[in-house]
Amino acid sequence: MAALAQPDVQESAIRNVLSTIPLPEGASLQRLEFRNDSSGEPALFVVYAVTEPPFVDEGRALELMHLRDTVSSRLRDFGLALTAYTMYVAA
Amino acid sequence: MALADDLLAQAHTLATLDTGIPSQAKLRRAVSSAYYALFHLLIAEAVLFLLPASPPGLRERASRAFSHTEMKKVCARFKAPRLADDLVPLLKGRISPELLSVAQRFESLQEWRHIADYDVGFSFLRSDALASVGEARGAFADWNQIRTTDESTVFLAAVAFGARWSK
Repeated sequence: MAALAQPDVQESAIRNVLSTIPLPEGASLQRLEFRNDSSGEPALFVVYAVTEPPFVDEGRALELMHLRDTVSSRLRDFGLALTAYTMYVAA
Repeated sequence: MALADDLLAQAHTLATLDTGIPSQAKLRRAVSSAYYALFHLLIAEAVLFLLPASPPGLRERASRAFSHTEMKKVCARFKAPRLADDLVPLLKGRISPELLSVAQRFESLQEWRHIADYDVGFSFLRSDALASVGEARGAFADWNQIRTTDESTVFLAAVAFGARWSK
């Protein structure tokens, strides 16, 4: 983790971790945002663009929930001390 | 546990009520209710396990003392990559995947609750709101797996004492 003191190195390493996560159909990594969360703590927001079905699709919701879990777990296992939040925006 | 369960059911109802393009108001309330379901579940469990039933009204009064921010900070400590020194002996050096899931989801749901309630510039997708409902359901299921374990008692005590836990 010593190298992660450099923000650009940190972002590159995080992108490497995220690139190993399989994405649901129609989802793509859009950007990373390093900013404070609502509690004022430094955090990472991982923003994915996703296609949205025009009807209630519980299966799609499960996929997005699992992606949130996977992103949090992988980044924690990687040793990221920041809390990571996965955010979805319309593709 | 009635309030927590009702809020969880309400969250799903709100997220799926509109058959066409869903209203942002319903999706925002769904995300908020999903968070409050888990918030009230943990508070109800904390006062149940940590306080006596008598005198009547004690648990209900104590339920009002919990802080959103402090509960989130406790969750952050329990899910940190390296467990804090004060937690190591109490938790035998590790926490279960189920407690990790509860802590992780509480943090996540609280952040989305904040966005849902205050960030009018953000547009929620229905799948996103349903994902929050799924996160809350998952946290309920994981909590039920571990609710009578020692690690859960430690977690609830930390949640109840908040910032004073680390003194």
